Amino acid sequence: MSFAGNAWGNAWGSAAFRHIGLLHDTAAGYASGCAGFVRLGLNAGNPVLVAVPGSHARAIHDELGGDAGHVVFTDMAVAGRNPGRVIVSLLDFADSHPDQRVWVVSQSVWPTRSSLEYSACVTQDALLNAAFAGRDATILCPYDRSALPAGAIADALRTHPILNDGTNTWDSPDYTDPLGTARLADLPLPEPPQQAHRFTITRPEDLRWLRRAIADLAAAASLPIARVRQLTVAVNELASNSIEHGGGRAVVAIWTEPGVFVCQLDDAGTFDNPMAGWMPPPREGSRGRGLLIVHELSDLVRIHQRSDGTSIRVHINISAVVKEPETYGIEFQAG
Amino acid sequence: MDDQLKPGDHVCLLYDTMDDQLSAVARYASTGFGSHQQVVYLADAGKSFDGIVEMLRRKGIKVAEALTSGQLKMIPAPELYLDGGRFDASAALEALPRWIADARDAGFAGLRVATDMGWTQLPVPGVEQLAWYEAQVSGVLADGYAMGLCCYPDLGDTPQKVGTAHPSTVYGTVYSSDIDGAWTPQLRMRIHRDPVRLCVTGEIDLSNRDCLPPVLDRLLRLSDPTGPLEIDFTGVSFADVATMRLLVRAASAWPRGLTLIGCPEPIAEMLRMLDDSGGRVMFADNIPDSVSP
Repeated sequence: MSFAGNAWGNAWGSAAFRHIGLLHDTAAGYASGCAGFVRLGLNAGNPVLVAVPGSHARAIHDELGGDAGHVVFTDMAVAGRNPGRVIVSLLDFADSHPDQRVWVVSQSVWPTRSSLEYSACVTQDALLNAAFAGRDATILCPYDRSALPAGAIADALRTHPILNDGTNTWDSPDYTDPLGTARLADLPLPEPPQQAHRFTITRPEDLRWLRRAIADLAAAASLPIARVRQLTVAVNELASNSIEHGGGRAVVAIWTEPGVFVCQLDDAGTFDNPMAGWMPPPREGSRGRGLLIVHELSDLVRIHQRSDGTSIRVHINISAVVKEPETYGIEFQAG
Repeated sequence: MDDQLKPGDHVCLLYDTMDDQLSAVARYASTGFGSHQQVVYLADAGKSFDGIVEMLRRKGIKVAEALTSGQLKMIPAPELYLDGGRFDASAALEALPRWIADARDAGFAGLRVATDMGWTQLPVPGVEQLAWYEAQVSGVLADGYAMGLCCYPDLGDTPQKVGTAHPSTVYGTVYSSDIDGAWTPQLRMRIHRDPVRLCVTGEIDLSNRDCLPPVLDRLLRLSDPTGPLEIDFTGVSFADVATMRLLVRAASAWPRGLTLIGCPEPIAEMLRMLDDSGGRVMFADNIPDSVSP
């Protein structure tokens, strides 16, 4: 396995942060590629995190054998269900190991991701480069060429400065400015359905009423009470932000899709910080903390910059069942 | 019909017409008279005082008797707010404790202050201090003897952000027509003594959270530094993220942290998520027979 070979030594250059796309075609290639990478970290005496969907973790675990005991495993199907939470969780791992290089296998893309989820994954993969710039971290993101569409592989080449295919390592010629890539992933959101409930809020005093309306609609859609409360907090944050910073007015649309309760807020605001919500703001009092909480409470958050303002869509899954990437195309041994 | 306001309440009332305002003031005063509370009304001197007295009389208020007995005091608003031709927030704040002391000395069960804030629409020097002033008033009122009804003309927005400095905001027509008592303030805050404890009920969000810092300041001044700050959250049904950050900051600033009593679990869960104070936000069950709002 080339990860262990000398070719790696120079291949990823001297940058503090190394973000590598692992392009693989088979389950065996996935397991050996990830495990080889993990061993590099372990051999260097550094902390290693494997954040992949639970069903995939088993393959890496088995490949590592006894070494697996020295690795932290996180189920990305849960922790990264909302791609907007991934960067925060990886930064947390890095922050919990100060003065050490951290090694992370991070897989947030799998074939059963919806198109909205997928575009959030591309944004996350791009912004990871900005969030970790200058940090001592090596992050490997596996991409399955046999199961993912060609467009997803092309995106991986744009978001990962270094690529590896299990044999060779090279600089990605397509890698480009991460903020520019994130902008390209900012696609218009599909129109809310006609039957969506719509409310316009213009004053802080409207928030109390909006929370009631959302709680009633969410409860009627059979959202569990704990999720209703989380949704209420999330939408309240977004609506407050619209009143304070988004032109003083927001149009709120609420509807359900199969298995998902959806809220969208349209306002006249602009986003001057592309990292807002994706990582903690630099200091106390600065904006962006509310959006961070919205990501934490929601199953998906999509932000689209329109020519005349901003649209933010929030998904809350109606059932608590986690959508596992079981149709991955690779057969992993069951736990 | 009596209103639902209690000592400690601080309400921003938005009115369209002078008649709207006086209907609200009449209901407010009438409730106070029935509860042996004193009423201080700072009326807008831009209108004739005699005219205001007559309009209140027509709304069923026995103005002459109340003025004679001392249960009603009417003061021209500019006398307090525009002394020297400018708004001096600190000077204006000194009046409230004085009125409270006078009302207590006279044996009243409480004090209701109503103010016509129509003058704030004039280009008055110092008017930018208004939101700060109103928030400080929330802090003074949290002692729980006096209450305030601040009547602002409803101009579609409040440029000085005065609404958010009050625990609750209501339209004049809603307050005046609420004969079945369905309307209650969105937020109530009272600081009880023995033990010193802030009791909060209702919902805290963008519409009212600016009034919280002065109330917390007052709690800090009154609390024993050898123990934690105590806030009873039993009656809080919603608190937004900025409010929780404020509580975390208060906990960080106080030597022994902050104990939230009876905090509903969904709010506690969010607070734990936001708490970067190293465990200085603590939770305690609400013990029966303890102080309640």
